[in-house]
Amino acid sequence: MARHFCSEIPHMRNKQTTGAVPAHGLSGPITIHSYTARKAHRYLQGSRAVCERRVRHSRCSELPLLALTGHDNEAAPGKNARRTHINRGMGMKNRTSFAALTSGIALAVFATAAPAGAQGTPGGTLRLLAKAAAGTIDPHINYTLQYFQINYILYDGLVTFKKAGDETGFDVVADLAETLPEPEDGGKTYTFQLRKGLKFADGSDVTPEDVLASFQRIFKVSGPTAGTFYNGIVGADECLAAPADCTLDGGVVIDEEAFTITINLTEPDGEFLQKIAIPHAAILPAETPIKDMGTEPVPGTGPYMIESYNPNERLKMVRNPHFEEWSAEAQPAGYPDEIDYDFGLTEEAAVTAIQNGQADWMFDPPPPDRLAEIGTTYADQASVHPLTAMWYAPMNTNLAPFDDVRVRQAVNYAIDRSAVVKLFGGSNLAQPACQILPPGFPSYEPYCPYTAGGGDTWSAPDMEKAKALVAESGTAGQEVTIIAEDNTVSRAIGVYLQDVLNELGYEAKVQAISQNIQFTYIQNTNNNVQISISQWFQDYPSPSNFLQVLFSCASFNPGSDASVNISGFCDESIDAKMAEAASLTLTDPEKSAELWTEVDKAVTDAAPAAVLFTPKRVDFISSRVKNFTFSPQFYWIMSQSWVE
Amino acid sequence: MRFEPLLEVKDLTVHFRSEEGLVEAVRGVSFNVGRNEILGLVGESGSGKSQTLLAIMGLIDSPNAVLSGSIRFEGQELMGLPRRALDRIRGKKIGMIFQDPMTSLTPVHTIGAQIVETLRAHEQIGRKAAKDRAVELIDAVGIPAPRSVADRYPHQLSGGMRQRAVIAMAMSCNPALLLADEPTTALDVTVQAQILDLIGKLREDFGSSVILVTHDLGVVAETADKVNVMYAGRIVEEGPKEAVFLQPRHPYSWGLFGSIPPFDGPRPARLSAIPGAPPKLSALPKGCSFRPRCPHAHDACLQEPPLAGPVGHRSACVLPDAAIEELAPRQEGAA
Amino acid sequence: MIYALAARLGQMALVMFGISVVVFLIFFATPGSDPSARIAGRNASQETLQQVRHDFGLDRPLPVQYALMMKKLFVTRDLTSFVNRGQKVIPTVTRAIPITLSLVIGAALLWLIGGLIVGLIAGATKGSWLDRTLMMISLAGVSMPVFWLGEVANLITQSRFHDSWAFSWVPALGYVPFGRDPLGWFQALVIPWIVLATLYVGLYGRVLRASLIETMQEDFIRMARAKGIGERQVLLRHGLRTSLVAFVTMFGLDFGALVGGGALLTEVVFGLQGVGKLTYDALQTLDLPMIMATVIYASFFVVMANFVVDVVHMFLDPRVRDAF
Repeated sequence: MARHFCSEIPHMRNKQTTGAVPAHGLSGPITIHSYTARKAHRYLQGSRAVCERRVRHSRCSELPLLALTGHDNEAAPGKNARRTHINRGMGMKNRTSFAALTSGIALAVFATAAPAGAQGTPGGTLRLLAKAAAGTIDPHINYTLQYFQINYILYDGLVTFKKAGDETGFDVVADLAETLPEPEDGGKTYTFQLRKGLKFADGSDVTPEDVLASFQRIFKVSGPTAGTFYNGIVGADECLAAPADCTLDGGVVIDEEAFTITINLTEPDGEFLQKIAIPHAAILPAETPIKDMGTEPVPGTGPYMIESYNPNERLKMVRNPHFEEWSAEAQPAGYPDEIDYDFGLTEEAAVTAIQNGQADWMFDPPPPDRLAEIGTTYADQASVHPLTAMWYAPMNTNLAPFDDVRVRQAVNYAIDRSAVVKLFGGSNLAQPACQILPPGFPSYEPYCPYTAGGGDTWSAPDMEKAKALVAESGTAGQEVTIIAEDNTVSRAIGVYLQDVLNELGYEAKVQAISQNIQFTYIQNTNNNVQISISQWFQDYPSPSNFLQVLFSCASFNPGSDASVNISGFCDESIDAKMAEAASLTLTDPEKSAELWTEVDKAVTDAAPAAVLFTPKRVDFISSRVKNFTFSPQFYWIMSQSWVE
Repeated sequence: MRFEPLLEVKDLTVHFRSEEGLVEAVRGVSFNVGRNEILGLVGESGSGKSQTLLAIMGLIDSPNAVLSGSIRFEGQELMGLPRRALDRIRGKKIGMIFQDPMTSLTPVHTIGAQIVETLRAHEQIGRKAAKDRAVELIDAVGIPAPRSVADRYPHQLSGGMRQRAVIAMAMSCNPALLLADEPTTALDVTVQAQILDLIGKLREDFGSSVILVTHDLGVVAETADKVNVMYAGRIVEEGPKEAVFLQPRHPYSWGLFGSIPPFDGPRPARLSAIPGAPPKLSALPKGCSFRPRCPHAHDACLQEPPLAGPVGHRSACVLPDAAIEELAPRQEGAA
Repeated sequence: MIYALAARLGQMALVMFGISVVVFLIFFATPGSDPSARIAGRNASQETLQQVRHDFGLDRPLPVQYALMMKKLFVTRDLTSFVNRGQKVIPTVTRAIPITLSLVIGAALLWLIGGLIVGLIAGATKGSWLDRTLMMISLAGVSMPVFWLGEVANLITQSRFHDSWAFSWVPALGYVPFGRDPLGWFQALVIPWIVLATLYVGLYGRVLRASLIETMQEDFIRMARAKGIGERQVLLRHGLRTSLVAFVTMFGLDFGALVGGGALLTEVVFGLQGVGKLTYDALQTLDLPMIMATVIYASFFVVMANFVVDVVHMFLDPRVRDAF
């Protein structure tokens, strides 16, 4: 009774607002509303608060969207989790209009994801916050989520990912090239027709020469993916051996008259277009110095350019005066005139600043202790989206006791993933995962061998089975050290894993290392890490990005800080299958997809890691930011929001 | 003309409450000091002589102290006087100097500044004038180069100079009475003599009286007019200096003077001392407190003996005058 | 005097050299600290890793690396950060100094006055309820961790009561340069000043009280009373003036440490990009060049503060003057 009473209040709000747009797929009307007056907002906040005071707190806490704090109101995502909107994933049982309203924000945004919105007016300044800067602003070098997000609106490649707020955001579309080329010569050659009349932010024209220079530069500055993504280009081997003299002769061939660029690969690569869609292959002016640009801005072709960068204070982006929109789906024009990205405030302070209207958005996830108030008082300023990512616990397949597959499987059976999800912040921030590929990913098919009671998805741990496996392996009593990061969540998960391992009969302890070095620490086999807690986020939406990068023999480099196959897993037959799946991407995409699904299952069965959950991202924005569009590839598309 | 004494102390009692009981530091002490008179207060440590002086100035600030009796100075009752009124008398009418001149002077202020402070606290006088007066005073106490000394700090002067400076400071407002608590004890012998001279001349130079507290009989012999001998918080003998020194009446005095090594003659094998030790002030014996150590004690001594004797020279002993004549040890005449 | 100064400078150089060597060695002894993989980026190929290592000189022997770093720091002054490549370390530190100074000087004034008042009143009224209350509050102030107090202050002034009349003047967290907006500069620093000063007011109040009580037992206090100058004069001119030595000595050392970046937790909590925050960030990200710069800067100030304290001590206590 009380539940409906409290939640009725926002529903009244809907009647005051304008512009109701029905969205598809949900029962009941949903509105995108624009606040007519701060007063109305206050009134409603107050009313809700009054309501909550009158009603027993627990009742109010059952209200939907408080689910941000992790009360399990919803069913686990169903079979149709594949490529679904977040709200299907939420799967709420009790659809009150309030729930519909708030879930509607995200969904309706999805529905109206078409950019060049007719409703917003250009202008204003977006104020963004982050705890710290993310390093260099050289787009060929920076490899952080934080700056990828802005590089997508500062720079363009020959192709890019579609700037859309739904699953089409995973599609590659032509950007500086006029159209997406068909691969020729069995998939080894791509010819791009460069658009004419495009300019960089410094006023110079974009020519094929710039394209060639940019590709050479990737190797000359020893970009992080030079050897992993772009080593398939003809001539790349020489470039990797002697970067300073890189020519990519025969690999990137330009025709200045015809304004074309032809790229030749040593082998067909169905993922090539995706690989050059990321900022590491952005096209920069040919004169760009061959060094890590660090804090010096590089002119780009996007609607914005960096005016100044002080990693201690601010990254300031202003409009690129030479930008003219050439493709709304590749690089739409931006609404804000200026974007200020300020560094230094802690997450706590950032949440407060957004609440006070002193800032518009924070990059870092809000701290768990603020989620409750965000989910209630500021519910309409928060949006939650699933990520193609995973939290997992790699186990060292070359070190006891995890060199025995039964032990690794036992760990997988024993972990209660719903408990781990609670530690992360609750079931609206994460969902349990069993297999390597995340939901919504190409080739994903639900598969979970490690749940009690069978089924495709995880439902409960099976401690008996786990203990039986451990007994079989005869490894009980051994000492195990878990390496976690020194933040709250990672540490808590570490302690939980310690409990699980102790229950299985091991002597477990947890060690938390600074999160700035933990990732490289656990990769280096010299550190003899048995089991650790880590995360993996996609670079581009291909199964190889998870399976091959993390579990192929080539990714295992003993004694090096860069050995991202942390578990040291190397299975010849699975490797062969991965190679086969990769080679078939262009010629037989269906068979390729099937093979990847098989690889996913095979790797999951071999259990080199215990996958824990698929995280979601909480974006907390200020009340004046409109049209929050969330792309699965770049997250918030900043250029497409306007401020009021 | 009025001949009333400058200072009249009547039945002054100072007790301290402590864990062991009541510590009776001063028990019914009475004496007078006239103008231009130097009174020597003699006794060993713990006899209550310093506490007597502190009581007069009101400087006993322990919360466990209980004072009673009367202290009349120039006709004004000092006992129980509020702080404000007391401050008008301290430094101005009654000056005081202490045993260790190094610790008596504030280390962070110059000598001149400390004297000027006293002057300006009690007189309407400008800074320059006060400074000049301070230099005069420093000169008057016999310190050479007074102007530069005025700008020096206490640690830069020798012991004797410091004590002179302290005397200058105490006398700066021409007080009628100076209380001197063991002023020469911390000084070496040669300097002692100079300081005693100085104190002796205060009578002439400043017209003040002095109460000189000391355990050193030589000091008293040198400088005082009258002598009070104190033992265990009481005055056991009082009288003019020559009378007390040459014809002491109290067994304690006999022991005291007897313990002075002779100036000439054969060298004694041992120094004579009074056997026993002074009583604990929290557990005083009944009656005469000297009784346990007195070779002439008898039952009558169980009653507290009052001061008795010829006018001007009395002692607190029940021995009749004849017996005293008889028993007193022979004293060499002091010059 | 000149000799003393020269000796001090020599000591300072020695101390800073020692500290820089220790920091350097600790950094490279820490497992996982090798920055090459972090600089090269996630999942870098082995060739890329080698290239980065070479570019940054990380494949040279340690003494050579140390010498190179010192040269870049002091001679050519173009040492750059490992984490934010291209960011010159020295200008970054230099720009952060005014922020730290603004914070620390303001707080120092507050706690000097506050500590003086608390210590004086408590010492003068020893044993009374006023004394006890002040000491309890001081103890509370000393016991509260500064970052907790800062977060609570933020909670009250930025979050819960931000719109109330009491705190609506409090601007967003962060530093406002004085030249740009003096009033804003002041408003942004008031709460951080109070938070930072609280700990020290408690500490200094207690120290002054103890020092004062001890001083008031001295003979010269009795002498001063015997001069009839009044208790207030006795307390201030003789008691306090003599107890100040300990107070000021402590202040000098604390102040020196804070200027060197010791207020880092306060800076982090209030989003002030001072030297302390730089140090904090550099330690978090294991950015050796920045760590080196901030540590050397801090050690310089601590040694300098020691020196200044000695000089001031000389002025305050004439007995020490002649010892020089």
